[in-house]
Amino acid sequence: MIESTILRHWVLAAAFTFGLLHALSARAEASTAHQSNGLTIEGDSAVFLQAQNSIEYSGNVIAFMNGMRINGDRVLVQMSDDRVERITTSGQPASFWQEQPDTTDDTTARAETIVYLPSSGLLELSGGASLIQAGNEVRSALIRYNLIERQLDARGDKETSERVRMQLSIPSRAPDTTPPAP
Amino acid sequence: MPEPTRQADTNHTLTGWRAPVIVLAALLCALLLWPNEGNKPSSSAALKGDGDEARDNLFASLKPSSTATQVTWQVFSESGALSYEVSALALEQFQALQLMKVEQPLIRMTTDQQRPWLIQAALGEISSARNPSVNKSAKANKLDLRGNVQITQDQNDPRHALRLFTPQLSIFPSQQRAVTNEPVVVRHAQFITTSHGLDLNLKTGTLSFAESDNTRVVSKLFLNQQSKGT
Repeated sequence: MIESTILRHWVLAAAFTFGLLHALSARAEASTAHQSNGLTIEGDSAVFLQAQNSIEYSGNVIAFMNGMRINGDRVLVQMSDDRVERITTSGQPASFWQEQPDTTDDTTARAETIVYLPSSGLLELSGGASLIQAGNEVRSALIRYNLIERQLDARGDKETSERVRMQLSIPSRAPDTTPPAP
Repeated sequence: MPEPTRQADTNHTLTGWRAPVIVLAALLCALLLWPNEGNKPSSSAALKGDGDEARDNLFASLKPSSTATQVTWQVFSESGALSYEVSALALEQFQALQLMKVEQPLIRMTTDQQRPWLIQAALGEISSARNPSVNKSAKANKLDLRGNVQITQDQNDPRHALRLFTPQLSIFPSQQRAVTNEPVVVRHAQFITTSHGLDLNLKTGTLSFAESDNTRVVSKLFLNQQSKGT
């Protein structure tokens, strides 16, 4: 009788321990999954200025998150009290890549400066900007690209009279196999 | 006639074993009296009779001249302002080496422009050192910390809080700088950064992650108000 009680206690303790470990593991996984939404930035060196609440990375800098990557020589991260406001990448040129889930044609872009605004999901490319999406290329002084809606807005530069240039890729039509109507 | 013969034999025997013994004894005497090159008196001043004193001084310097437990002391700058305050579980002072060893030090550094920095570690050594980057610089205090070194800033607003972790850190209070070449983790409300090596300006709060041969500076930014750093 006593042995049976001890055995029951052991089984209960083991079950409790297993449940606790499982709960902790699940919580850790949930935390990791949540953090994966963040943006990772790598650089050769960096400086954090507390007074400006900004970090500047330099030397072959790569910023990436969930199917998106920006490369450049320098990346400046500007923060407010409670959020990351603006991420400015500069390079000769800086480049952008975004995976397109339903197609093999990923979106790519190049510009002297690429500004990413996390709150709106907007990308601003300026200085010899070009963007290729689904085989169509846009060249302009300023290109705005919405990362969430995957829509772009290109504008020319009035000062330099630079106009928007777009090169559309027209898919070749499949040969018509249906016989002509009599 | 047998008697003289026995005597003669005895004398012959004695002469026979005495000769090698005498030779052996002579050799031993020669060896003992032979001047030993290894023990020849040296011209070195340290060994002219005062070798024991030098050795005693060396051993004495390795023993703490004073010890204390649960200590707190304050260090002031030349202008009279509080530079830093150290609290420690135990202290050993080595007067001859101008060195203090402390256990579990907690250092509170004050600056004009910044909120105070709180720095803690498992062990610490406080010594006087010249700044290697400045020629003929005056000796100033240097604090070498090791073992779970943690730097925090006494912030009212957690959104501005900064926490740094590293296994080793050297602090130069007169220059308001803290440096390390070891791995560092920096936590902020909006990012976590890992690096190999750090130069912290305690006066301005500027953190410099220098270029390293082996590793890159890597940050994880928390977008959309995902404050995970603290």
